[in-house]
Amino acid sequence: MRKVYVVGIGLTKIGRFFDKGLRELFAEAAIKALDDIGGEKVQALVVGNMMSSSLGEQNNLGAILADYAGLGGIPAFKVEAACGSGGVAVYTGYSLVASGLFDIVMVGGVEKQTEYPTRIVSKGLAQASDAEYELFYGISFTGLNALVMRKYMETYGISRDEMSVWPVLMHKNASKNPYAQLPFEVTIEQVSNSMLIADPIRLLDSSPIGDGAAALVLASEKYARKLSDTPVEIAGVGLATDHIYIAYRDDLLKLKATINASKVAYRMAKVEPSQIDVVEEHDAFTVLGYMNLEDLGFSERGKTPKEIAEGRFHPGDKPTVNPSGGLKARGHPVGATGVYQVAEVAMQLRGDYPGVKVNGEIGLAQSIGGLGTTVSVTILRR
Amino acid sequence: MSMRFSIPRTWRERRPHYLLEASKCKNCGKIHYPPRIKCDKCGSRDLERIRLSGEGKVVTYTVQYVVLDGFRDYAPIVYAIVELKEGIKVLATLTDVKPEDVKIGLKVKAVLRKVSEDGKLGLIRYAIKFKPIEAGS
Amino acid sequence: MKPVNDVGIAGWGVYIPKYRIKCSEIEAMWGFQPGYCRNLNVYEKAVAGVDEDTITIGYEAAKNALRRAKITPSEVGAIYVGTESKPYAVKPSITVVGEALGITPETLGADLEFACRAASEAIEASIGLIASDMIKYSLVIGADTAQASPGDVLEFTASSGGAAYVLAKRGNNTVAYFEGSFSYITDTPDFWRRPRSPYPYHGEQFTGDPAYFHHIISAVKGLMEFLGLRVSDFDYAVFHQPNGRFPLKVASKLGFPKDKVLPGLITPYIGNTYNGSALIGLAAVLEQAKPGQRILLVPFGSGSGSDAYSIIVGDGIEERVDLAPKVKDFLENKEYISYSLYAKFRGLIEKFEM
Repeated sequence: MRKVYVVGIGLTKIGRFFDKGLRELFAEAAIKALDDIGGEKVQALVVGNMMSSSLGEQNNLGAILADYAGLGGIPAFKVEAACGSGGVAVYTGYSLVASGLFDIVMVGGVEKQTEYPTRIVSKGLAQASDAEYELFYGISFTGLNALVMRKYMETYGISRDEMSVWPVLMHKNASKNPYAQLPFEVTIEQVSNSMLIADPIRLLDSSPIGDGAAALVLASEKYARKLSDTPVEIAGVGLATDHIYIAYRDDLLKLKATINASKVAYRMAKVEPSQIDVVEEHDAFTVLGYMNLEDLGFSERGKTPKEIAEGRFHPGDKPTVNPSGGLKARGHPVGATGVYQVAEVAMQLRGDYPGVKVNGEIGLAQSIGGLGTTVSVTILRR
Repeated sequence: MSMRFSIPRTWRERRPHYLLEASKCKNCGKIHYPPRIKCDKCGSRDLERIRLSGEGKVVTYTVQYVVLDGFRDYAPIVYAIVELKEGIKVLATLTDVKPEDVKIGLKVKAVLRKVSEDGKLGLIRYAIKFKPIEAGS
Repeated sequence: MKPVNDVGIAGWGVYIPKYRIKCSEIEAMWGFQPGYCRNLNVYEKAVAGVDEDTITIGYEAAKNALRRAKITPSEVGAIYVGTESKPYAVKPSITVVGEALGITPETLGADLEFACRAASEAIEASIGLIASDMIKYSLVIGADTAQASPGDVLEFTASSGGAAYVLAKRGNNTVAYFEGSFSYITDTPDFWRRPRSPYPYHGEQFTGDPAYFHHIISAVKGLMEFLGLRVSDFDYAVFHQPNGRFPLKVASKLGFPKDKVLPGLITPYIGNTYNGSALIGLAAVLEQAKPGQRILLVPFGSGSGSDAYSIIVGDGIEERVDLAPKVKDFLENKEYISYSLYAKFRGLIEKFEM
């Protein structure tokens, strides 16, 4: 397989943009990314998106977005893995270049979640779970994750305030991030007393609902130096799936798909967790923020909340986790998030990240679809 | 009126929902719920349909206050993962119980209840929910 | 009437939802004088939870009956639901209950309607099917989530609950048998509901003498004459119980002493469960009756009609009593709710959902 590099990046801020639809948002990010490569043309487009069909009545998304971004006619298609669509889009874009089919590919991610009231958007998001045996009962995606949060707290003896450490750190990081949806700090008390959504998950445990678009340009080695002064190599990729019906899994407190996907990515990149400098992981809810670090091999099961309270993973530590503010505070425009994460890690490694900066060589991005049903891990190297 | 619940889907899935009908591998003995056509442990396609006991205990639970469209009447809804006697776990709503009385380890049994309705004119979805084992039940 | 082969009861079961609303709560809500319910001899009524309906109530009562009958569901040859609160106006309740219990598909049955005595008609039909050897076991369910207009006096008594009976040929697993029955029906419009109406109309005083009393008395007299029995031959008398007063009044008119009626008088504690009414009363009696005793069972349905049955209790009944929850257990397992929660559970609050 050939080497693949990130050579161009374009992101929109994340928030509620009633005045922009899928096409406008994506075009904004795509044009920024094309500017980043000096206006060169890309040869293909892969887009990650979850709900254009269920909420926007729109299929054939690849073709439309290519057209509106000034890339009409090129090979273009959407990939979907619920809230992990972005990570799968990166994985797919990578394979298109690594295989030799294309030299320059755009990977995009875009999501509009603000077109309807929460109760309807929640129904769309809940389609990340088992439609016939979980969503059937009316459980929301938050409710599903709450089952895991309670088990985590009970099994490891973690208190409410100890769980609240994660959102506090995320918000602190996001307060420096110009792209973040929630760039303000919060306190432990505010988190622990915020409104209940699905007990024990509270409002400030949950990533917000928002719109956003991100675009990357990937290129083969031959074109990498031509298109960018600071190309960042995608050193390893891994993708894995698990039973969607969470009750069918043996252990609710680990995501096998994360463990398996990361193993493949680490092996391909020839690195160990201890060598990772910066991580952007998929903290859709507080409990995942902790569990992901355990599944990715950075901390011991159940110990992560205490370690973070003691300063591990904060800016300055190796690895620094979610300097962007994570899904919690940077935001989570579901299908696009995985692309944001890879863009953020790439910006860290090439030195132009506008928020909390991490000086490093190797970074990791983890994107989850559903409750660990589809997980992709991308490792980048300067 | 626009229909939201699919007729064939409601009909097709009624036995797993009404009876906790699972599949069991005749080759290695693994029980699958929801039922499958191919065993995910040994790969065999020689499976039979069995009915689960419906008796178990709560492994974890949540009380959902922010409900999906159409579920306001039932709020707050308690959802639980219940481990049945057979060792297999299922996810379902808990009924006839106050949120403050639910705890991990609570012994429960399966009952047939309404899950939701497609408005006033559409189909009614029935399925197994779990309620605490106590006198009079 | 008496079939060529005697038919009996192999198992019985009831289900009463745990929620109760006190009559006094309804009195206060609609400005009735405090103590109004004392006239009706009803203290509180059972309310179906928001996820319950006739199908789910029938299912639980049937499960209890099958437990006591000690048969597997696939042995059931016919399944009936007598109800006037069907979840679907057109689509049978028996098919959902039948599938959920594992009884279908090789079975017959239907949902029957004759106000509160539909389940009783199902019992008569089952007796015919079983006595003629067409089927071995029949499952008859009488269940309702009775509707009453808020503010109407009917609201004090219209409640939710159900009973189920597994019937079989006498001697085939039975613990009681039907000695005989007598049916009496006329076109008497004491109570009705047109298709587009959510609530029934009733004739107030007219529901008494021309309806309830005339038909019950006629059926009982007809039965006693047919079987050559007198009031003193019966140990228990279980009447349809729309409130706690009518059964005592009709008993007195017929000459039955109060103490033969009280064991089967459950309405004061749970309200009128319509098709469950007399059948829950019968279950309460079966749970204390001794072999050899004779029970008079008289369901009544508006429109109107009544059936009188003479039931003889047999050996082995005491061993079946504790195989499933008893009426007493359901009476004790209760939780009081306010009128506002009751209104939500019964769908009385109109919501505008887009």
